[in-house]
Amino acid sequence: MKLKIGFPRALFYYLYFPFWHTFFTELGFEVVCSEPTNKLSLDLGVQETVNDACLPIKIYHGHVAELKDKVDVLFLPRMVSVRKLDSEVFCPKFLGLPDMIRNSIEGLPRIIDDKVDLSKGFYPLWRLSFRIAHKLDRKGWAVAAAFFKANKAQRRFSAYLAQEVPAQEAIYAVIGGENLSKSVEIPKPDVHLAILGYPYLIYDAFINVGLLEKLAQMGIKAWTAEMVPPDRLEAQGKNLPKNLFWHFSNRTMRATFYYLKEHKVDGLVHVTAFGCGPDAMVDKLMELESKAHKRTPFLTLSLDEHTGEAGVLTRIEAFVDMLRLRRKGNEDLVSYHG
Amino acid sequence: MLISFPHMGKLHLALTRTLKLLDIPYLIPPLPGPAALQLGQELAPEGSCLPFCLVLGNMREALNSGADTLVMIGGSGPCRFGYFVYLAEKLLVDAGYKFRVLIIDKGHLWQDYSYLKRGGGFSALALIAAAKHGWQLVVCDEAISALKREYLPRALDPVKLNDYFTECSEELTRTESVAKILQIRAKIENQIKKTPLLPASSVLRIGLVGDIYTLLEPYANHEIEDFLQRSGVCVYKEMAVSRWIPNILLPWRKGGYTRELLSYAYPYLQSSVGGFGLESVANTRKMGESCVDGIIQLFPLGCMPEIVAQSAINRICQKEHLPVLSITMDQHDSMTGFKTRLEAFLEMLNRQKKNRANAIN
Repeated sequence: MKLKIGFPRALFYYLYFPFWHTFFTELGFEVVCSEPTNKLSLDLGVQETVNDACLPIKIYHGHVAELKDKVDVLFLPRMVSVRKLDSEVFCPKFLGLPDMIRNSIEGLPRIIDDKVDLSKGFYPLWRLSFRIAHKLDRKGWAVAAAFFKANKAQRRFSAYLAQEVPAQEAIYAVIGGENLSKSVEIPKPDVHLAILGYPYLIYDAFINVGLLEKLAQMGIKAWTAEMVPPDRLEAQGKNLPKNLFWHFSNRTMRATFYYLKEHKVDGLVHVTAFGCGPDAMVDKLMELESKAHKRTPFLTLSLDEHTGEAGVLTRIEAFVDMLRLRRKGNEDLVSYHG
Repeated sequence: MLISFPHMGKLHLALTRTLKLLDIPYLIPPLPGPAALQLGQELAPEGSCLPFCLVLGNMREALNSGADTLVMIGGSGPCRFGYFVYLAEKLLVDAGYKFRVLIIDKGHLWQDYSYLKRGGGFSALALIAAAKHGWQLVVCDEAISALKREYLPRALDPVKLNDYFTECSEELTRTESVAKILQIRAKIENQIKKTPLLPASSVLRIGLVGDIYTLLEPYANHEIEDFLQRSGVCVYKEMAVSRWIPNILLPWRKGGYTRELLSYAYPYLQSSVGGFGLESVANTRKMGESCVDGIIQLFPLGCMPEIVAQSAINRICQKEHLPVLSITMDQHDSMTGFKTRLEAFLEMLNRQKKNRANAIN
């Protein structure tokens, strides 16, 4: 029987899952994911986590609690950094995540919690993959072959994201080989909004109560950080006096600059979780930048455990109404987006 | 040029002494209090932590009273503290203040130095000597407060010992040379040896852990040390400016320092999480094994490293039977709730101690 490796469907799942799924599958393991976030994972998470933690961390705990009895090994990498840039790492809670899980949840199976630190040394990802494979008793060419395949899958995934495919669909397309279901084309969107925030909030339809879908229904085109061409995203780094310390925050800030400078959108929506540490700063910086760039309308959408559909919808509707009114009011000030 | 800086614990002693020796005009803002909190909250983002509000408020107080240059340390995360100064600068400029910041951080030092030099006209050697002098002052002052925390509740004649400490602290502010500072420190250590003390096991001992700002700034922790001292509790605190800064700034000490912390924290936390998360977990275990009856963890609401630490400390509490009280400090000014929790915790510890003593007899 194949060894079952568990991968919680939360946090970095939305950006790095295709790599690890392909890698483990090629090595002959079965990868088991938790269900998409639902009431159960939220309840389990709230129950297990220390009470001051933020919503995404609680959800992650919930996914682990759901998975722990179904798998032989849990894969909970310690995400430290994914590239060389000043002192960029992930948020402190990511750094201590495997420990938080171990400290809070009882009856866990074996855990693989290797440090993903790609800022140091030569070919860090290659070496990390071999280290993990070694722990699972896999050596030699098979690992190298799996590594290359995984890399290829990850590249395909990034390409899909850049082509405006939603993350979850792109993941299914890459790992399942399914054809891309043509996403609903919005005939003629009259409002363009940049929906910025961390991937685990933007792409988790349960946490954000189906935000992207609702926007599409309202005839609004949503732009996310993943749709910015990577090189142009990086080029925006120079706009801050010092890079932020957190990977996802830097991405969000750079996307903010990109959309503001390119005049591609009518407004910015920052999707944030209540109690998110880095976002307290990112949110303020975004607000100041929107103000500095021709007072671009800016909305903060804060999500928590009790987020109701009506609340989010009301806020978005009011924001969009305001945008439309504004456009009617001063036709000449409107940006001509391309 | 009129230099000022936000407060953190006793760090102002070192800064003012250094600036005084270099003949640079400076201004000490009022100690953080309700006024600073109010000023800070007006500009700070909604979810920012208490230390940021107080630092920002302190900066505004300094600027309002006429300072035109601010000195503040930067950092390299992942705790938010390292980005405070950059965000604060943006916020203050947005609010219409005109000033200059000297950031003590990688890549800024040369700029800062040349700016100071233009204003003052001193040599690099003089700067180093002055900084060293100021540094010794802080080290000595912290050593004195540590002795006071640990020995005052045990003294048979606490009033006399307290007077002696106060006298020495005053003498310290009047000193003029490094030798004199060291002399005072030695004098106090001698005096402690001569003072008649109760046995260490007869009083309640509590260890404090948490993030540096909350532990060092009396307003941010509702003056917990005074409260505990008045209740006759010996307070142990590993956190100190003099212990932290050298271990962070001097590259040859950093590795050993982290390894030592990890050796204590390893079963519960296996990696540094930025800020003082690792320190809190390591110190909890260290103090729990050696000397204390209970631990109090203090941290501002939303402090990321301490939340990770909290999960580890909860585990230590269960596994090693070490009583722990975790208190989140939010931005309210109320003492009552805080005191009630502390009193209940102390009472519980006292009872536990008594039961244990009875069991042994």
